[in-house]
Amino acid sequence: MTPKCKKILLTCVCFLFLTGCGARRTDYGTIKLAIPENPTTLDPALIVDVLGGGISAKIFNGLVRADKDLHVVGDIASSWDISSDGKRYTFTLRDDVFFHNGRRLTPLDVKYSFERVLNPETGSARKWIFNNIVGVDAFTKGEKDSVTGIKVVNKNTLQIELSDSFGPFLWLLTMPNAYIVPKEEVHRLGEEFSRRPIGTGPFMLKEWKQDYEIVLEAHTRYFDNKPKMKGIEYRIIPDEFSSLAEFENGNLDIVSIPRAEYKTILNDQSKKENIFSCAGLNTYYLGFNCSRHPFNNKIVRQAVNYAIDREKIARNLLDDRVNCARSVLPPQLDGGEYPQCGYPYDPQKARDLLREAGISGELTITLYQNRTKEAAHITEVVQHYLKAVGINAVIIEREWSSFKETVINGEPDMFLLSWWADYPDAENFFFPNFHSLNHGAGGNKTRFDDARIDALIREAQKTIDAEKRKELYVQLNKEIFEEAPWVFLWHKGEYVLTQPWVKGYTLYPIYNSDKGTDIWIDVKKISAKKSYIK
Amino acid sequence: MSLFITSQIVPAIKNNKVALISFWCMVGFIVVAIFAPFIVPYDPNAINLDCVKLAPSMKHWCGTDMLGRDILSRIILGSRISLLVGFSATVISLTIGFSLGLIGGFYGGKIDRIIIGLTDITLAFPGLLLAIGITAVFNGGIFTICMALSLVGWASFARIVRGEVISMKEKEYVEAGYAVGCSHLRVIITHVIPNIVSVVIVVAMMKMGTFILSEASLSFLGLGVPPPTPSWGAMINDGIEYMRNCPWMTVFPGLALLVAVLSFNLIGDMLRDFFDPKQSSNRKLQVAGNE
Amino acid sequence: MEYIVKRIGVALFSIVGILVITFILMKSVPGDPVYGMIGQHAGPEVIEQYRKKLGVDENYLTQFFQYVGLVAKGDLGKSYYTQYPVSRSIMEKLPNTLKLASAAMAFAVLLGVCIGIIAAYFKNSAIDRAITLFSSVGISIPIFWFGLILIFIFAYTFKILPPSGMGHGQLIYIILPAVTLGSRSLAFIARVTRSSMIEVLHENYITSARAKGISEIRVVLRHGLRNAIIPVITLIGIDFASYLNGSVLTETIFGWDGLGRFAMSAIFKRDYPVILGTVLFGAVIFVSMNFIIDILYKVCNPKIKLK
Repeated sequence: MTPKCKKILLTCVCFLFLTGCGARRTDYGTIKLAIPENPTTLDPALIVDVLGGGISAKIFNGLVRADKDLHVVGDIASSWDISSDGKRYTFTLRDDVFFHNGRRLTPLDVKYSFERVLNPETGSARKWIFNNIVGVDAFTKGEKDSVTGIKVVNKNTLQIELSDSFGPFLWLLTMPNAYIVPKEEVHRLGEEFSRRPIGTGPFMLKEWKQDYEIVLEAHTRYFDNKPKMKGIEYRIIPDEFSSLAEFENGNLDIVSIPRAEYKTILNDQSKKENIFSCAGLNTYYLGFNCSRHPFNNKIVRQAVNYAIDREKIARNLLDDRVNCARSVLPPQLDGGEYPQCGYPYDPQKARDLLREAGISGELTITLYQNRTKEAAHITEVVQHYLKAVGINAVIIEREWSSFKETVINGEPDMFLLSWWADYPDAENFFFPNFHSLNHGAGGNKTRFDDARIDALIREAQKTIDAEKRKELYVQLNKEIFEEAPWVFLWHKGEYVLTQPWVKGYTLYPIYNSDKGTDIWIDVKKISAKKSYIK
Repeated sequence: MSLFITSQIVPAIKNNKVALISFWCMVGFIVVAIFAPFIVPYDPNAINLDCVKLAPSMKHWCGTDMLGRDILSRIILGSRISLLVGFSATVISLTIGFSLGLIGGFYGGKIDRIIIGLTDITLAFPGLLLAIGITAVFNGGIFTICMALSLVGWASFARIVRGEVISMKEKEYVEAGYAVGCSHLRVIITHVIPNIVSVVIVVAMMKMGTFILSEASLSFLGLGVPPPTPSWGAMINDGIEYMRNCPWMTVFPGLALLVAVLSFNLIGDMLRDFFDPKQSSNRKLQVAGNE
Repeated sequence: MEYIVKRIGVALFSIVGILVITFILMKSVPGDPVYGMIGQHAGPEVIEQYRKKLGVDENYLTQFFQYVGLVAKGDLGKSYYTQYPVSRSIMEKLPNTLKLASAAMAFAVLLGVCIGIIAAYFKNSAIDRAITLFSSVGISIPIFWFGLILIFIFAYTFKILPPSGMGHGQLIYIILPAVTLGSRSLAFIARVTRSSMIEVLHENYITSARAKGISEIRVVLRHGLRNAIIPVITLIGIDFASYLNGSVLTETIFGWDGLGRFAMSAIFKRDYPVILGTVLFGAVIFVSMNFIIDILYKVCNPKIKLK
């Protein structure tokens, strides 16, 4: 290469470098967020994950929704009436709801959307939400072509008839699977509807580049609080340090705080106003296989509960990002009114109990986990504590679907798992996890079986009176803690950091209550500094 | 032959500073790996939630990880996995590849065509991806990893050996051997093999380094030995999250890896230069090491 | 040419062999991918329905032949998870991997050849020994660790480059991944260039060129390099083909949305069509590249006998 060629090459490289450097953001009309992966679908009937649910909340509406104080409020339904026996719900719908394609919504759309979820051809995994409605069996078997329990009374009234009263029924209707979809668009797009959803929500899908980004733009005819921003952009960034770096460069407005950075960021006084945290509606636990030795013995289960120092794990390993579990329910649901139940760390008591249960010498059990780093660390620490009381835990890790299958089939002796609420009601923690009907895939992975507890759960489900239900749940909580089918670990919180120019942001405990309409950007607060976090 | 090796190679190593250092590193690595449980300052698997994420200090030369385990001890114990996998995979690949290459090159004809076809197919396969696939399917474990690595690794040996055998068939001393009345087997053992050994040793050294890296890559991706057995690749993976604030968790295991592999590669380099200063077959060997 | 036909035959056999191996592999997997898709609460009938939809109830031989038929039509199936056509995903992600591979290759070749020439020219000097040592380090260094160190130095400590991700396609995001991916090639290319140049520089035509009074740089570059470069081309071909297999490690660390990371996440989720599709695709590329290199080699250097 001649010297002249070299000079030209050098100039080209410099030029390219510099153009690349000027990656400064100019668009502050859309809120930019990062999501860790590509959602599998945005079709409400098919959504089963938190990610899909959160995004679909911006695109769709249901009859009702949850507000940030965990109350059910009207969405498409402006008001409703419940019969005294708790079996008939009459909804009055608003008349100013429009789909993104311009058509006005009618009660027929609601009936269509619910029946679509129940229709075996749709392949929804959340049919159980509507299982309680009269006429569902006949419809799913194909004997009838509509569900008799869902009645369109007139042009803005819908009636739903349940076969059994169910206290939290309204909560089921806040779930993403109960969002309303337009029939003509579903028929027109077929399978594509998953990737090009059309609803009534405050935002419309503008573009979805798979594995890259999802861009939403504001829906001008939205019936409720209109969005203050032009749109929302979800960038798919799987690596949490990338998202943090993008945030520091000002290219993202809101970011989830990675756990390794938690302490550093929290201790930074300048960021205090911009950190949002919220206890999650979840419970993390170590499940026992209650159907066979050794964990079919309640005393052995209790022993393991005493053997593990949850507080230390929460503090030193998890940096206090979690709250140790004092009851089956997360703090928002028990309202601090449930008497504290819990097993303090007492390895000596654990050993005594094991001896009492007749376990002499070393006990070997299998401990299964999902293949994530955090799970690996937690199980290693648990293994360490169990060893100290004479239990040899063999750790077996599996990737997610394989893990679920082995747990559902009852292979492990113990397993590390969590339960995330579908809706914020105590019923959603007790019924799926502890009722004997739900062994395996239904949610009761420990195969816990106690007739008395079954009866209590059923009774609470049928009760409409809030006070009475609370009493039943308090009793249930106490009994379940006593039976210890789980080692009740903790509840995980969510921690979010926003840029100083983001206003009106709220962190909702339920992922799909956030319609995204209150956020706005105060342009005056935008700093020209490139690096925000030192 | 062995006399030849010791009388010529040993001084060669002694004279070359770089080779000398690598030689002692290699020996050091093997010794550490063999005696690991006796040299560790702390129990490598001892979890202690009271000293998590400590920076390197006099008490913990390489610091502690997020579960409070001493990193130096884990690095020492982790050398066992690296050595074990590297050595086993090399031996297995060598055995398979050597035999097939020898048979194919020597007998020629249809057998040779089948063998060369098999070699080509194996070389055409994305090696790491296959190893990932196999270990993902059968859930890791030392045996699985060695098998997975050998499944693709034998092909380089086969190709090199076959090439050498073919070029050797034309040499005079082989014809001379036949003329004197030696059987096929005798010719192979007495004439062909000794001349191939040098090439094979060089490739074996390179492959050793490659396999150690492959094992580390597999453990890095979470497909290696299950916890709590420490492995350098897995340790690096564990430390990624904490890299900003606790870089020692990733830096030290990686350094250990680098030094181990480097020592094998440098010895391999030196041996290659020693056996064949003409450099003409160097490129073949360099390429072979790359696969 | 008979030779070309023979090589095509071998290439095709390679591809079929790869398909068979991958298919057997995937079918020996434990666990059912169905659960990863249907949330915590599903009942047994839904699980059964998903199993039917995914066709896992047929016998193996039928499944394999069905697959081969589809592949011939260019259909690699749909991801078990997103129902998104695999071939479409591959085509969408291929440009990213190509971008990264090209950048890495450019870096490796430009820098590698320069370094190799310098080392060869100053043979046995301190510079040469340093370069040789560095190239050995380059081959021995675990690239995932090297990438992390680069991230630590340039992104966390000095904050001049982004640690990962693709941004909105700006050039600055490709620098670290390209350097990481290309580091090993850089080392190999430097070595091969060096030894090749050393050989060439001792040839007669170099001496005669010098005797003619041609400037040193022209002698080295014009006359020497041209002949020395041939073995490097083979190396470039082999390396590029292996980059195209996604460079699983680099893409995973840098969050680069290419084929390597795509295959990686598919393997973890047991997404069979995606795994088979990407591996097949990668292998086809590899085989084709080898084939092209072989032909090119013969064309450039007819005296080389290709067995």
